[in-house]
Amino acid sequence: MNTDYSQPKKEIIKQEKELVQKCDQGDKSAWEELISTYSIYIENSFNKLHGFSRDDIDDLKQEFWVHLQKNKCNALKLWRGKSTLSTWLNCIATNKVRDFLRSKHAKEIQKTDSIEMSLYPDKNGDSRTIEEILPREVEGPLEAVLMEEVSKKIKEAINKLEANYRNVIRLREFEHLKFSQIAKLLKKPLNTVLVEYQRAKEKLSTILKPYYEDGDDIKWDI
Amino acid sequence: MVRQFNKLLRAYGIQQAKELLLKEKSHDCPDDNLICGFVDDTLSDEERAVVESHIATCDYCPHHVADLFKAIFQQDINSGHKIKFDKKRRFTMPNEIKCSKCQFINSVESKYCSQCGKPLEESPSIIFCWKCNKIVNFGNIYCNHCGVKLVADKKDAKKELYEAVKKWLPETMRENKWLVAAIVTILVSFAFPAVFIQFCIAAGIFGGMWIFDSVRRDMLIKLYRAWKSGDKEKIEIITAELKKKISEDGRSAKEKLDSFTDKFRDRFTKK
Repeated sequence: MNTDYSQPKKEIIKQEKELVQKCDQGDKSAWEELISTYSIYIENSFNKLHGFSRDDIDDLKQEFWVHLQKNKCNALKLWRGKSTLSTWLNCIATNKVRDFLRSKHAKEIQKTDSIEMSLYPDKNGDSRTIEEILPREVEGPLEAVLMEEVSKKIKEAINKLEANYRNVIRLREFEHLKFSQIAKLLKKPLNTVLVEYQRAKEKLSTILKPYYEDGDDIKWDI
Repeated sequence: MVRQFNKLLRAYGIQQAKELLLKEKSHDCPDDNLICGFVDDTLSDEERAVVESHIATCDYCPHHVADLFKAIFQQDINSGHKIKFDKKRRFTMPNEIKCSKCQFINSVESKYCSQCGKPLEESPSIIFCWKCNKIVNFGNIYCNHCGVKLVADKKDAKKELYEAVKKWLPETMRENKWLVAAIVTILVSFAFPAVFIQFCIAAGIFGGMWIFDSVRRDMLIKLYRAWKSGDKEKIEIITAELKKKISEDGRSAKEKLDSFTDKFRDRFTKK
């Protein structure tokens, strides 16, 4: 089956529903079609694992296809046609990847490969450690404890904001999406997203004013 | 002061990134079907409002949505790292980069290999065909869907140009044979300096033949007769016809040239 993504999405969903029905009945050729066409669309969701070995990733991919066929195709039946099939499969795959990262085996590897290194690259593209990024006060154990308390306050402050401001701040600061992508996701024009981000920051800064002073140093006493 | 505040937010964001891995789906979270529809933009307005209001309150769901969004619109996210178009490459949008030294597979965002530190070249694992825009594996020489050649050598480019010229030349030669003759005589005259003037005269004659050989000759004769008789109306009609004819000729020639150049422009600059 050739899925043209230039077609309107409802027509694609109709075609895909027929394919899933065939898969449910145990048609071998339908399964072959499904795997051959959609295995490429899914690869992006395994991109998060780029620090791991190729064998681990291949194992996960195989596990994913087995998971689809388990319990009389339960995972496929749950798809109700609200979205295209490729996004549904991507959703399952990202869940699988998250489970894998949570597992103990993954945590041991992550000690050497920290997440933060890749999050904030230098201007030249080199990765930086956390110590370079964070303000100096957080280096000690006491400051780390204080930071945890401040983070609670920040969480409360973010929860005080209005819903649209909260979405923009979260997607931008914690998920690292671009403004254009946020606009696409929330179905808003780009300029309103920019304005909302700016206003949300202003509101946050007024709420959090007691925890930092204007000057060189951050005031950590609460 | 603003800088301090930004530092505080960023430090919080880093701490959040660690915690997000451990968070799990709660009972209030909407079904995965709805979230997929939200990312795909296929939901109705009511359902969309439900999901949007939930995302504002939930800790887990924005992370989930952002992950899905990144996975589906990978090419948007890595727009800073797009492949530039050469004559050799005829595909778009990379996904992963393989290190040429140790064969380790890195994400597209990385500029250096994470295993050996070598600066990465731009060579993805999945590519998109330049003609039909469908997904093709890297390393395929031909597209699975439309059969177009994906990797072109210099030889291929030359061959295509040669074939196109082969089609185009004989037609124009046949139309303008007198012009070709004139050019050839001028070129030959340089070889025989003793009879240079005679050759030049011949070239002039051929040039005249080229001008009067075409359909315009009849028009010119008509115009001459009308001018001699002195009818102003006739002259105006004939000049209008002549102008029309010339402009049509020019347009058709321009269209031909445009279609010819478009073919090659499409090859190398199509998205």
